[in-house]
Amino acid sequence: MFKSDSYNQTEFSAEEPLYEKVRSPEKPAEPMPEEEVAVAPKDNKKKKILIASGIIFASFLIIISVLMSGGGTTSESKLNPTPTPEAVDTRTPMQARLEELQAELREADPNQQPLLFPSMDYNISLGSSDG
Amino acid sequence: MPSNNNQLTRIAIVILGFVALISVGSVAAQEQGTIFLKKFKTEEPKRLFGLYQANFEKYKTSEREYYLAKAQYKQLFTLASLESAVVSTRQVMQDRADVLIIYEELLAASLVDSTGAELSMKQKTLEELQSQIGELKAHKDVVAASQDRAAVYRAGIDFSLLLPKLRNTAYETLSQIVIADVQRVYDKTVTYYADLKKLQAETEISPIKEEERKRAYGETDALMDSIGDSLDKIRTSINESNRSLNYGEYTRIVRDLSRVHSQLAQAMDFLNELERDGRIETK
Repeated sequence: MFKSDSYNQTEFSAEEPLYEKVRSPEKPAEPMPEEEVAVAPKDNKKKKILIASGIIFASFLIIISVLMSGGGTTSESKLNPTPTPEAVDTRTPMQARLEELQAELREADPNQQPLLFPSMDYNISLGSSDG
Repeated sequence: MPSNNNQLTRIAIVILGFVALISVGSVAAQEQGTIFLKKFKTEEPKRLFGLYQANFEKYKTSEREYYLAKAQYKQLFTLASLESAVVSTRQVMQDRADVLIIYEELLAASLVDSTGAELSMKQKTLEELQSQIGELKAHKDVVAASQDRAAVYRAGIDFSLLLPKLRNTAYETLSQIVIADVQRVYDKTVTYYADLKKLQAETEISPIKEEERKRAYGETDALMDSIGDSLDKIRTSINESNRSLNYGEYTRIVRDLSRVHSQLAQAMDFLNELERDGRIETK
């Protein structure tokens, strides 16, 4: 009751915070911890982006190296075949022969001929005298 | 601080995009190389194909230098620019000869490899290729010995006379190779079909199944005969003419062979069905 009596009742209640702000310097402000709190999540975000991009980059490198060395590993595995349960061929000899024929037919596609006459400039000349 | 984060994200996206591009490009190039190399059965054509690609790259570099030197000479018309133009013309002509020499060697090695080609034609074409390799080597020596513009010009004229022969022999060889490839698969399919018939004749089946099989054999026989006839016609067309084949003739042969190729694929589908039905019936 005493407190409410001390207010000037001719002023609007919306102006009340202005009075509180005036009072605030009484408490000593601590700016340092506030900054730290604000900066910490941003640092985490930065770290997360860097780690994620690093992981994706490394996985890309691994994929490339696996694909590039694909030929080499298959040839090595052909040299040292290790019988595994999955590798057991369940096909009949006739089935296997037909599949080989089909593969051979795909390779014999006449439209896939890589040895066409080389496309080069066959009119190379400096001219006889006119340049 | 938010702008820093945005920058980092952008950098990460650029790096990933770059890596993805490299990986896709390298895989595509590798696959294309593998497709082409699959065509060669032995090591020699594979080695020559690698050499051919390297020589072609070298030629492309000297071709660019030749265009540049020639343009400079036409613009400046000085003795120095003429000297540069003569040197680069000589170089590009030698590199072009190198590409063609390896190309002809590659054609010869591929023809030797192809087992379905007719022997007499194969022998004749191989001799032609060897003779042209000799002519190309002689041309290269002439170019190397050319000291002035007139000599380089004469070497160019000699080459233009040799060129039609080189082209014709190349397309003749390629025609034999593509025909031989399809012929070889056809011959193997005929043998396979005969073996399948023999195997299936050993197992007893119901009269209804017997009738079904007879009709299936009839269809397959007709298709195989039609393929054989088409292949004979294509082979005869290049045998009897005894004329030199140009690019147009070669593309006609490839078009006809493509039809045979798809018929052969159809025949293999029939054989696949026959083989599968036979397996089910024996179970």
